[in-house]
Amino acid sequence: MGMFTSFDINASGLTAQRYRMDIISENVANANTTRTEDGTAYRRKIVTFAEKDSQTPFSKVLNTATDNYSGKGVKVSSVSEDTTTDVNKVYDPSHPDADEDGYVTYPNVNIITEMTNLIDASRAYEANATAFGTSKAIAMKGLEMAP
Amino acid sequence: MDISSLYNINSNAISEAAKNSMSSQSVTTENNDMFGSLLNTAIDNLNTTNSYLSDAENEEIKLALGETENTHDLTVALQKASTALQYTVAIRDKFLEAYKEIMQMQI
Repeated sequence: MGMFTSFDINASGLTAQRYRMDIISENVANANTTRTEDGTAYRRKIVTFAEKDSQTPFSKVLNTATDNYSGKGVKVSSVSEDTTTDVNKVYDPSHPDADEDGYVTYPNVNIITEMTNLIDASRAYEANATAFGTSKAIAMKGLEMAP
Repeated sequence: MDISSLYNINSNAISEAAKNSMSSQSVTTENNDMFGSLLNTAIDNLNTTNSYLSDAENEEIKLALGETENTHDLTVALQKASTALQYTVAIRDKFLEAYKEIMQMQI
């Protein structure tokens, strides 16, 4: 537990949530994209987070032995495509990307889901910012104790 | 910034813990007296604070040049530097206070 550990942990949370917002923005922007580089419709992207563990194997063993927990925050572990949700098929024979039956494949992006996730990311960012502010307030309070 | 070495000698437990933390430190204590080690720790604190301040300055330059990736990077660096500086200033004030107290001693 160092002096600025909580600062760094909250900073990693802020960065992770901002990255998540980037991916949600991409989903919203591509909600109607019928053609990507490989010719198929756009697929919704999902961000997964993992606990950050930037410790070396040695310091990990040492910290476990000395019972010294040291969290390092969060990191983005992967950005994967959503292949479980079905794509939207809309009958529109005049569309350039329609198949031989006249159906256009639209992305499996649900705007309502994306907006809900966006609010969630925004609130999580706010929570990290508040925790950061509290850490700083505590550090300053510690200084105030002995005038 | 390690300020744990500024110990309270009244308590046995704390002075023991402080002794342990001092021995594991990289501070070179050539003259192994109290004042020397205290001064060395203070100088160590100064260097750490200085590096935080230069980190914050780097972030400022990055923001000005448009190279920053996150909106909060500058704020985080600035808050860290500000907290470290305020702690260092508090230690300096205490240090000067103690020095003045000794200088005003009646002989």
